[in-house]
Amino acid sequence: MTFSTDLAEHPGPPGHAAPPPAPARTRRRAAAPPRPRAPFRPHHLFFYLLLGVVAFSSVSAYAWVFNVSMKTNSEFISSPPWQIAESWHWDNYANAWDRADIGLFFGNSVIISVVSTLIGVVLAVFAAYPLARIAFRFSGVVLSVFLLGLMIPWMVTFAPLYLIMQDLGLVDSQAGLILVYATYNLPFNVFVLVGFMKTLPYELEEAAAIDGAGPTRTFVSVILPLMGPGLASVAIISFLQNWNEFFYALLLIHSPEKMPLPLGLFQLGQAADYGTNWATLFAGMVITVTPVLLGFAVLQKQITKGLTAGALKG
Amino acid sequence: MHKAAQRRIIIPFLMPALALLGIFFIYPLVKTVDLSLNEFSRTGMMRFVGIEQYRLLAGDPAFFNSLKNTFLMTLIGSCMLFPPAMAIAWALSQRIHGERFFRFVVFAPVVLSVAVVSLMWKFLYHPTLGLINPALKSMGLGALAKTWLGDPATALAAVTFVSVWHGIGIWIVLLCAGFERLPADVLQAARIDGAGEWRVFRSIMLPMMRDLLRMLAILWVVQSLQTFAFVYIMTAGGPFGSTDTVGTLMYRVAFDRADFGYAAAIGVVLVLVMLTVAKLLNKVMKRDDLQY
Amino acid sequence: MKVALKLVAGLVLVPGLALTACGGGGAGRPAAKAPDAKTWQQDIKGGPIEVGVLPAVGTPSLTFLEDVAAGIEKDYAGADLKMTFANTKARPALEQRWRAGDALDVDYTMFDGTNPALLDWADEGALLDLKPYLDQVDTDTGKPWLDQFSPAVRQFMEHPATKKIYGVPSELSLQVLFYNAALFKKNGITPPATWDDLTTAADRLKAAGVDPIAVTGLFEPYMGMWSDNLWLRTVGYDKAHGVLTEGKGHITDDPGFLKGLQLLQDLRDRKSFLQGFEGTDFTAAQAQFFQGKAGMILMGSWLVSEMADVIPEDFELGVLPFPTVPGGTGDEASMLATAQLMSVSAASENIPLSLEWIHRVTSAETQTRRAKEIGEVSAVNGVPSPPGLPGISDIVTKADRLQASYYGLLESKAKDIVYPEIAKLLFGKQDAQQTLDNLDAGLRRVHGN
Repeated sequence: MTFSTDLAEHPGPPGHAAPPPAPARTRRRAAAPPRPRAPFRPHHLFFYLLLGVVAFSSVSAYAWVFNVSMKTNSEFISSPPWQIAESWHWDNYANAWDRADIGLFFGNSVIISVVSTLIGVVLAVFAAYPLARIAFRFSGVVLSVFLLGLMIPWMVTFAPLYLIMQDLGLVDSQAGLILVYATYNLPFNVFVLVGFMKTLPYELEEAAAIDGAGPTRTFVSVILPLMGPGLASVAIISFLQNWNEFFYALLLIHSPEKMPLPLGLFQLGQAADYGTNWATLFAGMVITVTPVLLGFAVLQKQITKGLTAGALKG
Repeated sequence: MHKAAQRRIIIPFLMPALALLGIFFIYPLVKTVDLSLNEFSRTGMMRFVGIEQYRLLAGDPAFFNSLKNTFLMTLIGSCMLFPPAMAIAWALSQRIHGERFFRFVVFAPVVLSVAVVSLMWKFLYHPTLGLINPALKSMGLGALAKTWLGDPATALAAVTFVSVWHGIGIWIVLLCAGFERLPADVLQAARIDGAGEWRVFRSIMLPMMRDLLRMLAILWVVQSLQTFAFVYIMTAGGPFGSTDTVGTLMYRVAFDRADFGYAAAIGVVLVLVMLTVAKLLNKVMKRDDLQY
Repeated sequence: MKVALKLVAGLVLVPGLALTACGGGGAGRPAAKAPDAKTWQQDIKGGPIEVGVLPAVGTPSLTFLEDVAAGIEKDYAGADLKMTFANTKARPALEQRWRAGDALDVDYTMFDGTNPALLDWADEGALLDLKPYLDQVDTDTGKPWLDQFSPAVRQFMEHPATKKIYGVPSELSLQVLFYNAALFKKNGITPPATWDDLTTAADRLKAAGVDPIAVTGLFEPYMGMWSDNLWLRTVGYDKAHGVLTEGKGHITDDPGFLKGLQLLQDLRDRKSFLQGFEGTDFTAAQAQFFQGKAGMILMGSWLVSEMADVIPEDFELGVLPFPTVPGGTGDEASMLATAQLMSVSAASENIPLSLEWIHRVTSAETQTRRAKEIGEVSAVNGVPSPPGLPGISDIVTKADRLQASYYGLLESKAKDIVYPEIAKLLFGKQDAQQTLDNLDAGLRRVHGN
């Protein structure tokens, strides 16, 4: 998720917006000085209090999930929710791994979510550009179509969707699921990216045009680098959506060897509903959530950098 | 000059996205409108009935009840969501101590699946074995103990709270992106001029983020008018319909009753409602804009 | 945004695009090449089939079925049985596959002879008529295959109009009253056979400091089990089914409806239901019963296999049919049940192998093992009670009729009318008479009568 955002120039007065030369990239990244921490101020107390409450609830949630994953089923049912597991039942993890075929499904999920997120973000940023920055006759209509896309009641559109997928030979294929996910990411991505692009000063393009850059190059080398925060946000959100999506996967994928993780977890969830196999479900949750959290923790540096790049120059 | 050059890229830039949208979304949507004019058997055989489904819908108290609940949920949810999300994003943009840690934990619940979050909160809300009521009792606030999900007065807010708790990280990420884009020099200048932080927030940050907020508000409305998963898992619309949303109603109609025509009619009306609200919201928030 | 509204208006006015149906429908299905009834067992050939199953991955129930499938795969070279999870939450996707002409070879919930909403698939030729095969003498038993099923489940299997058979039951779910036998003994309470016994038992449990009846307030049809069973006793199945599900007559016509509601109100007024049940999930309610915090629970017979992992070893479970109601004018001896029916797709590429699957799952031998190992209640004659459900076979035998759980309401528009009103009654929001009035108004509206 490195959108080379450190290239980002803060939108300034016309003429200042030309992209810096490419070679500066690596050097600048290494040399970017850490932003100084803000000195403590009284209103920070309020922040710490609020963040503390939210952080506490979120950490507790994970602690609870982990704790349950270590209990036996009867312990889960009979002990108060916050009682610590009597002994650590790692076998729940082995069970979850075997039953939900997590190794295989995990690989499928990575492929499906990464590819669909990429397609969804790339197509969206291209589509967003003319909608945000170029006045043309039907731009309002086109934007409305994308906005409409946010309003699909999937409970009823799934039947026609299934039929068209069948006609295209895309039922029970990961490619089909990827295209559907990418499509259903598009409206949100376009909507958010248009919003972000509109905040950029229009002089950017004019300046680039004066420098002799064509519109495509202007887009790639002037606008795109400034989109870091927006791109990072929509990429994260699309990825999570695709990673957790359940219904279309259930509808469109029939072969176990092609299934993504939510279908594996669904089976564990059903085993919990119909057989009180709670511990295994929670172990499965921990297994599936951990890599995503780790990935987020690792990439967070990049993402945060992306988010702050704009302010850095200020 | 470069305007003309710009025009040439409009179509190639838009085409790939529109093509996908056309096949996988516009076509099914058009079909949905078509479905709503028919009556279905469980097997998918359909019979054209014109606007009959819409006529039925206009006299269906269950639909209006679900619509009312959905709006309530949107409203209550926005009160639960935006103030804390704003405050947290603001805090995270201040480079306070432990910012990285907080950023991480604030986002962490988003990664949990809806099923697990719902299950966890069902246990926390449990009237006698849960966490909330015993905690209230131990603090001597036993009078505040409720059956939460079992009480029509609190169930809606209780479910909404869980969905906000789960999803707030996403909104914070988007808001953070907005805060980070604020011109630091302007903020700095204001601070040097002696403006207090609250003043900076209210008079500079907030107005500059108005566009983003408007967009997020529309997104929230559009998303929460489709609320389904948390309600379906936690209360299934109960007690006695007090948490029934348009989403859960549509699900029951489509899948329990296999009444696709009626479900499609509900869907079409829902889309129209969403468009109208989005439009109104856009207008109202724009008008505010003019004051600046 | 104005344009968007216009756009939608435009879409509404494009009926030209509206041609093909939501699904392939029944019309386009290929004609079935059903094997000859007399020789189908000789026609079994290998090949792949996809069979729907109710248990989830990783449950002993599924392992058991996989075992049965492995047996078939061993007997017929090239046979390959793929199990697909076909329970409630997977239904929307599977039914779409049926509509699109891409059905499973064997599936559940496609037919129920007692539920008008579930006859469509059979009527449109999507399901194989099993009658010819069931009529053949089974080489294993020397009697027709059909004869091995309890006559009590026949009505579920059979189409009410054509008398063709579209499903065979792999198991039964019965609504029964479970009680904590040890707790009853300790407090000298007799297991309730009549409604008066039940209220007495409730009062005495209450006096002993135990919540009498566990119930969930978060799933309305489970609360509805109480009114369903009461009406079975005070009104009778056919009448109640007619009024509630089919809109034949009104709920005010038969005083039994009000009587049932009054009995339920009385139970409520005695504070018989679990404290805080309004906000208690069904898992938690069931767990509280097995922890001895509640004395009784009205639930499906699946309760025992569902909770198997968490039932304390020394727990003494008692099972009873729903109490009789003295003076009731309904069915005193029948009970509410669901037969889990397996249907065969008429478009299956390998009908003989599909038949062999349902044949093997319903054989007395498999059913006996299933009762013993998994705890499923069988609809096959002579299969003993599962060890966890002592005496359930006797209960089934004594019941003069099995009637459809929920009166088929779950697939009907009246579901949203009936169960919420019952919940309001249980929650203490209204009394029996108000409940009846609201039900009357709601039912008149959805049935248009």
